[in-house]
Amino acid sequence: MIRLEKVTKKYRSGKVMVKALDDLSLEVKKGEFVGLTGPSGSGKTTLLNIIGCLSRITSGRFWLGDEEVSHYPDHFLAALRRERFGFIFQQFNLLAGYTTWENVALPLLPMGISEKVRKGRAMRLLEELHLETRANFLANELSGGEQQRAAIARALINDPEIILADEPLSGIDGKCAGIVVAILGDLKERGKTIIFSSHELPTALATLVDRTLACEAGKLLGVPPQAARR
Amino acid sequence: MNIAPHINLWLMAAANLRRYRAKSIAVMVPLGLVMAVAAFMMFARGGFVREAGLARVFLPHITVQGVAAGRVEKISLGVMDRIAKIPHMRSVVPRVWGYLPMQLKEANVSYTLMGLDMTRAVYDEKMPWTLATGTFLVPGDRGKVVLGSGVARSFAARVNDRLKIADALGNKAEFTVVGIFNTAVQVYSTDLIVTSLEDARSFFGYRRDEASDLLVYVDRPEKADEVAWTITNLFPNTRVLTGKALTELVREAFSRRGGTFQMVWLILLLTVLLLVWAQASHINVDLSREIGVLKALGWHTGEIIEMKMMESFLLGFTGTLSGILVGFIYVLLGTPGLSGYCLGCASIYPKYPIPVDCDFPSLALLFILGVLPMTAVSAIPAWLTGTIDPDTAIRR
Repeated sequence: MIRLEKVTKKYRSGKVMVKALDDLSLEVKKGEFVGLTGPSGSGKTTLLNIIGCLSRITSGRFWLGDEEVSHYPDHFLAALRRERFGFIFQQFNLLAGYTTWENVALPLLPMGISEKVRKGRAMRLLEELHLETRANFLANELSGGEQQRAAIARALINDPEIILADEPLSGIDGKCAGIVVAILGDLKERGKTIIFSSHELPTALATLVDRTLACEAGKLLGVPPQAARR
Repeated sequence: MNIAPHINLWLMAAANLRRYRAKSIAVMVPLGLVMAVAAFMMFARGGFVREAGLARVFLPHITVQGVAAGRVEKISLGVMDRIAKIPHMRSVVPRVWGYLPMQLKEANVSYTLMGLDMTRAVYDEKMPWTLATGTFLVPGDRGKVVLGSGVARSFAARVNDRLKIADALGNKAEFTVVGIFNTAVQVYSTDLIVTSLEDARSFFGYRRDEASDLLVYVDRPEKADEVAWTITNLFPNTRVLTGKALTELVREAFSRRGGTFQMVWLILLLTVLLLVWAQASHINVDLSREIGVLKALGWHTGEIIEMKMMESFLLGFTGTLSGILVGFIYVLLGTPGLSGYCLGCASIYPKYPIPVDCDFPSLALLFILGVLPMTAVSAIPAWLTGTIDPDTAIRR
């Protein structure tokens, strides 16, 4: 489903050119639940951004299903993000001036869906995540855990086939973490492909993951042999 | 074409004005104030130019003044017969006029007493329309006057009232008011007291063979320049002014080429550009992050630019519309505080409200000035941020 081959990602940080991903290869099958672990700066978030088409590779090749998307133009990548991916950011990235339900429904807005339908779909998700009472709160009025759940709801609003979660359990309390783990478990049950990153593999997620890959200096350790051979 | 996505984007843009109301107000209030001044300037300019056009009904095709040592002097009526023989001539009308300082009535205010030879006078067919009430003078009238709206207001005079006037030397006269000019031509007529040639001569002490100037009417207006040139050649000691030149003088004084108008307009333009610049440089971390998040959620760059442009358009449109309404209301209230400055030397005449005229080109120009730069400038930073990778925009 997702295949990266000898992918390198470099970016400029001030005057220094940083190699965030270094000749990295990876294959993730449909319905797999994959954990990426590693210290800060190891390339976990960059890898998630590349997979989620939020960032372009510097060299190498990247397939999504049968399509090589490495050199897709911007509007194709935007369409992929809209239709196939749900992204849960580490910092939640909710828009402060918007209410919770408006944030959740944002991906639907440019699709021409009416406000009534958008709100209906957002409310259903918020109910599943026990956030319906916060639907009309502004995003900055929510607690960390509530913001995380709202971010998850937003990632799921388009019913994407691939969920990417950057540090989904960081900065939230145990109770909220339990809810998030339950949601991810449910998504796995529904056959979604899930890739998440974390400094270490959280105990709560250990039973869910199919594979854990360790990131270090832009490389992956514990890569399955079939991906490494390509 | 599916318009539903666009409607959603426009509604979101409109809602953003409310969401970010502090930012919206910070742009809208100064823009509104600038546009209010600009609207007032445009409407007032339009009013002056329109009145200059209307006042043409008062103007002869040519005015001939006597000159001595380069200064305007009385003109001898001896030249009238020779002027009357020039081809295309219709009528030559002697006129006597002078100023009446009315210190006792109103400090630093002068009126103009003007005497016309009603047996020779030629009037535009629109002349009756220039009167608000009463009638104009007819040949043989003595002791009667038609008043400008400012004079009538100062003296609280109405038709059939008696009007007493006096000059600084103590010359006195008393007249019956037979008509009052319309305020639509107040720029020209506000200070006028029009009477018969004989009454004006008597008041100012002119001899029967003298006049202040001659009003020349030709049979074909397009021949006015040719006739004026002939008079200049025949009588080098005269100053010859065509009606067209006088109208243009007023028009130009208040047109886009008018100095005061140009200066104020330039300042307003710079202020709008400053506002636009402030709006453009508002591309800060928050906005960059917002654009990055929207891109990450699958929004196309074009959709983001469309929404941001619509936001700025609505901001500019609302600010401009509010400004124009404020400017219009200010004008309706009689431009308190500003009319004295704007009328300049006209303040020695009786006070009158600034004439205003609101037409489509003026409104279009105001909206272009207020809305277009604001909308266009928002597209550039939105496009610049929209074309970079979402994660870069979010991390900025």
